[in-house]
Parts: sequence; structure tokens; C-alpha cells
Amino acid sequence: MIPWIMWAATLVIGGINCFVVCSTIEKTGEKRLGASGSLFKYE
Amino acid sequence: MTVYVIVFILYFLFMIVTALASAKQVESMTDFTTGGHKMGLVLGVGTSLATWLSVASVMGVPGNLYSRGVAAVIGWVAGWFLATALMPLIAYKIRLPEMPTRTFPEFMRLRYEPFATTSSLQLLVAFIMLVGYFIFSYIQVQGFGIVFSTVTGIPYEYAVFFFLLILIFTCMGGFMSVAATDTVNAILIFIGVVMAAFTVLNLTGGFANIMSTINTTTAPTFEGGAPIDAGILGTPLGTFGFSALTSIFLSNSLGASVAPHWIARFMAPKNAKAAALQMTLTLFCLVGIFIPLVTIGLGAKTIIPSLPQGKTTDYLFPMVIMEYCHPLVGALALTAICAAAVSTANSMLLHCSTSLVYDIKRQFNKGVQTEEDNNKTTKQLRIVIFSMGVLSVLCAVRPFTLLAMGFTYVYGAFGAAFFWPVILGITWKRMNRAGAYASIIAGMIGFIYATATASTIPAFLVGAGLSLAACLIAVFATPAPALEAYESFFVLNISDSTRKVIHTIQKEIDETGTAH
Repeated sequence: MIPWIMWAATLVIGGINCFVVCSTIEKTGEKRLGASGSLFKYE
Repeated sequence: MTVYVIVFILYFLFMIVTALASAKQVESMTDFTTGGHKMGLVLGVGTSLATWLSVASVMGVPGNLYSRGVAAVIGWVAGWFLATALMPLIAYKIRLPEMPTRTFPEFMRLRYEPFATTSSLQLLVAFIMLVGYFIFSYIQVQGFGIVFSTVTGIPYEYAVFFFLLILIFTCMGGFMSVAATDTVNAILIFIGVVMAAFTVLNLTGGFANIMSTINTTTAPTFEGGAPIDAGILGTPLGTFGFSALTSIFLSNSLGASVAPHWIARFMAPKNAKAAALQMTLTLFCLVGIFIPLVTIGLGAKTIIPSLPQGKTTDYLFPMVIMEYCHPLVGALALTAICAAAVSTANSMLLHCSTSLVYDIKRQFNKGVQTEEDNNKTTKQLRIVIFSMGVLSVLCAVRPFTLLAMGFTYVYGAFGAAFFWPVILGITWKRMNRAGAYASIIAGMIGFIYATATASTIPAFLVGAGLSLAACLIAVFATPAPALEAYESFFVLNISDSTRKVIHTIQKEIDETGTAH
């Protein structure tokens, strides 16, 4: 079970990490960092 | 065989056309090295996915699962997933500066030696990268040769030379060419491995049967070998020792998270949020590819209990595909592996030559770089990529390591040397030049010594532990860095003096501050 639990835990860590980073960016309100605007469009 | 050849030819034509089309769009030095810091999220995820999907993952991981059991899930799968899970924060900090750096050695220079006319730290880091990425590209050529020889029947020693035929064209396009072909490769790999996994599940009767075999088999990895202990492939340590598995896990997780090619990937997105999201989406997309790879690796033990003598476990994946899959499925899957090998090798060779031409040679060119100089540098990059490719092929004629293990050694060395300089550099203002030097040198020596002597303490822990200790001693024994060294990574609106320093490092203004 240990290998599978370790693998699943990495997904949780990744999700939390991304949530914290994106929240930080949104709080700054900086468009340059991507706080608003399309992330998909190639500019 | 005909189906394989047709699919291979179609794929190679696609790669050549894409590279030539992309070559026309390459306008500047920044375009060639990082795609101009303007990559969108979709292309970013595609290219990050394909970077993970090299021969080390697509061929090496199933091979290790087959011979080592579920322990390989800890060593490689959980290791690489943890690396990706840590990357959003690193990506955000690397892409934070208003004027992002273009290469990893340039990042180290800006953070630790912003005022140096010729940065010896940039040279040292570029040299370490040059060696590491040469090994990475050599491993890709090795993987390409294994697949090509399995499909065509051409002996491996000659099959590797076909790699150069494709490289002639793919080295024309630079970063965006690699990114574009990477995205299609990722899709192709996904289709190939999913279809192959379904074939394996069908042949074995399902995952429960696969695990039942893993938990009871005594069949040796190679025909004629000594039987293995029943059930060992199902244990968390498998056929590894604790120290070896810990070092593999740490090298693949902490080491890979700061590998210079990933740091360079974080510089390419259009903004910091795209950089962070790119890695998180990549993490979740990887699940869809690694579940089939794990199924194939473990399931193969039921289908082929032992491999023939004279083959390594790296041959497992192409063997399963060729013997048991529908020709069209097989052609797709094996084309996907070749795609992964060529595009990753191309990407690694790009890092290799960028280190040599941009970070080493360009430093000795005095004054501002004109457009003509930059065009000349871009041409030199292409020549160096191809030359390094030739050298990789010549070395790959005689392989010295298994694919996945070769990657782990390089990730371990990168991690031991660069983990603390990168992590502390983006999170601790007090981190300085002396700390970076001490950390890199102590980490590299510690890791190489522990690996070479097969230390009972995990090699990565020896390297990274020495690196941290040396770093902290050096940092507290020397003065704090200047504002220009860390401001870009901690403050949104940087001062004019920091802006001027970055322009000078990138050789876009001269010493008097005049822009060109």
C-alpha cells in the first residue's frame, strides 16, 4: 500500500501548492503576474 | 512491419515540417532560448508533459517495475510526481521578475553575481549543465536506438545513427519548435500507452491478476538467472536496499524539481500564474499516462515471466508491444517512444548548446550584443546542437547504464548541487554568492563520492546535507547580498538600478546605460 499512498499524496501536495500560489497572485491584483486576463492566448 | 514503417515515416515528416516552419519564426536570441517569455497555458502543459515523457519514463519505468516490483512506484513515479507537485511555487518565483532571465546559469548570475563583468558562477553552472544534459541526450539516443532496432531489425549499433537524420531538421527551430512537437508527442504517447495498457489488461485478465502474480512470482528477471524470493516484487522496498531506494526517491523528487531544464521551462510562460498552473495541470495529466505505464510494467511479469538473455529491461516495452499488440496500436506506441526520445534529446541538446554558446562563449564577447551578433549566436547554437548530437550518438553506440537509472544519477547530481542555491535564492534574501559557491561545490563532491563508494547513507542525503551545511556556514560568514541581487524575486516593482543590472547582464545596454 505504501507506494500507492505516496503517489496519491503527491497529488494532494501539488493541489495545495498551486492553490496557495494562485491565491497569492490574485491578492496582488497584478495583471503582469496573471491576476486577470487570459492564460491561454498566445501573445 | 509495413504499418510500423508507414507510421514512422509520417511522424518523421511531421517533425521535419514543424521544425522548418518554426525556424522561420525564430527572430531573436530570446525566441530561440525561451520562446520569448510568451507561452500560453495549453502549449505550456503540452511541452511540460512531453518533457516528463522521455525514454526514461516510457521505457525505463515499466522496465524497473518489471525487475524491481512496486518499489519502483516509490523511486520513480512518486519521486517525479513529488517533483512536479513542488514546482508551482518555484515556477512562480522564477517567473516573477519583470524581466525574466533566459537561462538557468543566467538566473544564478543575476541572483548571486549581478555586478560581475565575467561571472565565474555562470560559467561553473553552465559547465555542470553541459555535462548533465549531454548525459541526458545520450540516454535519449540510447532509447531511440533500442526502439528503432526492435522495430526494424537493424542492429542497435547502427540504429542509433538514424537519430541524426531527424536531428538535422529538428535543431533548426529552437525552443518553439521543441515546444510544438512536444505537445503533439504528448498526445501520441498518451494514445499509445493507454491502448497498450488495455492490451496488457486483456491478456492478463485484469489488475487483480497482475498483482497476484507480482505477489507470488519467483521468476528471475532474465532467463537462466536465480529465482527471486516469492512476494519480494510486491514489497515497498522490492529488490532495492533502503538507502538506494531513498536516494533514488530524493534524487527524482527534490533533485528533479530544481533541474535546470525545468527552471528554463518556468521562464517561458507568459506570466507567473501560467507558470504555476502549467505544472499543476501537468501533474494531474501525468496520472493518465503513468497508470497505463505502471499497468504495462507490472503486467508484463505475467505475460513474459523472464526476459531473454542479452536484453536489458529497457527492451521490455518495445518487446511487449511488438509481440502482443495490434500492429496499428504497436506502431502508435513505438512511434510515441521515438517521438519522446527525439524531442527530449532535442530539448536537452538545446540546453547543452545554450550553456556552451550563450552562458559560456557569449560572456567573453565584450560590449553590447547587436542583432547581427545575436543572429550569429543563434546559428552557432544550431551548429553546436548538431555537433553535440553526433557526439551523443557516438557515445550511445556503447550504452553504460539503464535509461531510468541514468536520469536518476543526473537528477541526483543536479539536486545535490542546485537545490539549496535555487530554493534559498528565491525564498531567503540573505542567501548570497559565497553560499551559492559553497553549496554547489560541496553538494556535487558529496553526491559523487557517496554514489561512487556506494555509501550506506543515501547518496542524495550526503550531497544535499553537505551542500546545506556548507551553504549556511558561508552565508553567515560573509556579508549580505546587494539589493540588486535579490530584488527581482521578492518585489513586484523593481528599482532602476536592478533594471539596469539585468539589462547589462543580458547585454542589451552598455556599461554607460545606453540602450541598443
